[in-house]
Amino acid sequence: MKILMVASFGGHFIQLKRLHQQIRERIEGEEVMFEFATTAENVALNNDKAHNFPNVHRGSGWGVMIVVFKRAYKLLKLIKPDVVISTGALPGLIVCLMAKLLGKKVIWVDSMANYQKLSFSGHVAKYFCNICLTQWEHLAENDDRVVYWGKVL
Amino acid sequence: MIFITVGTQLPFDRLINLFTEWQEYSRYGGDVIAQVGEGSHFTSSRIKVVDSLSSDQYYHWFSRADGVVSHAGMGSILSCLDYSKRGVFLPREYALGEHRNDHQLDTVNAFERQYETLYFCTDKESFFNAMNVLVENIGVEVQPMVPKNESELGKNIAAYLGLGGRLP
Repeated sequence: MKILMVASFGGHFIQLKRLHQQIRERIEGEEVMFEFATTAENVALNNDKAHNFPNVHRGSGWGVMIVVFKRAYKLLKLIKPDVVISTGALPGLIVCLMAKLLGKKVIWVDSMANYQKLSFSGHVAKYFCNICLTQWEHLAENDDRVVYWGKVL
Repeated sequence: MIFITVGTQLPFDRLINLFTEWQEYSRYGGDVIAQVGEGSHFTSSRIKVVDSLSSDQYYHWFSRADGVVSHAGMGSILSCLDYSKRGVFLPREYALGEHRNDHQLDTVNAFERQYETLYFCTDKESFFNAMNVLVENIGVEVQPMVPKNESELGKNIAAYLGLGGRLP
């Protein structure tokens, strides 16, 4: 199984690293390969170089968005993951959406920063991801599309 | 040495200016490194200023710091816990044009009073108090954080993917 983990550089990527560590601790000899993508260049995780992905936010124009969707397609064709996991934010959401269109299993993990409500990206992710996770129990209570399975902390 | 960081996105000069005011008032004489964000116009003769840092540079300064001053971003909060550092946090506020929404205020609600080495502030008075406590405690070792859960999130995701399920 090949898992692509994608997140914006910064706090989202720090949460991705912790989640990666948590998942690895649970793997018992199965063949799992991890690949990573983030919005900064020259980032390595466990000596694996992360793929670079363009940064984009809600204020970016449609032209930029189209370019980013194309980059998401190229990234997924290159890596050919079975599963995509993102810890945010909008660049991760775009990779997740493209991955879903390509028939991959997709998991969204909303940032721990969002304690009162899900992020904008999380609110979109919950409609198409296989699993949409919040890291705060109370945010899963009144929403059937959102699940709490624990935290990166 | 005090390490100031405002994260990877927007500048946050309110934090840097508040720190400078405190530095003036407290006569703190130690070194200060500040990552101020691209687009910040802040300069100081008493602070080493950089716009942005690579991951390696970030952890270089983080691991050497006597204390950390930061916006209320998850990266800084988690890194303070990972590196056993005292941290003073000021949330970015939407009304002041410092972020796209007020999620940093929510983060403060979540983390306030959860860790005795992380101080969350919203105004000048609480910031100065927190800075004074931070400096008074330089040299006092921070106990490493004990994880509260047993990698529950990773365990559940692995189980969902059919991994790591082979228990004896």
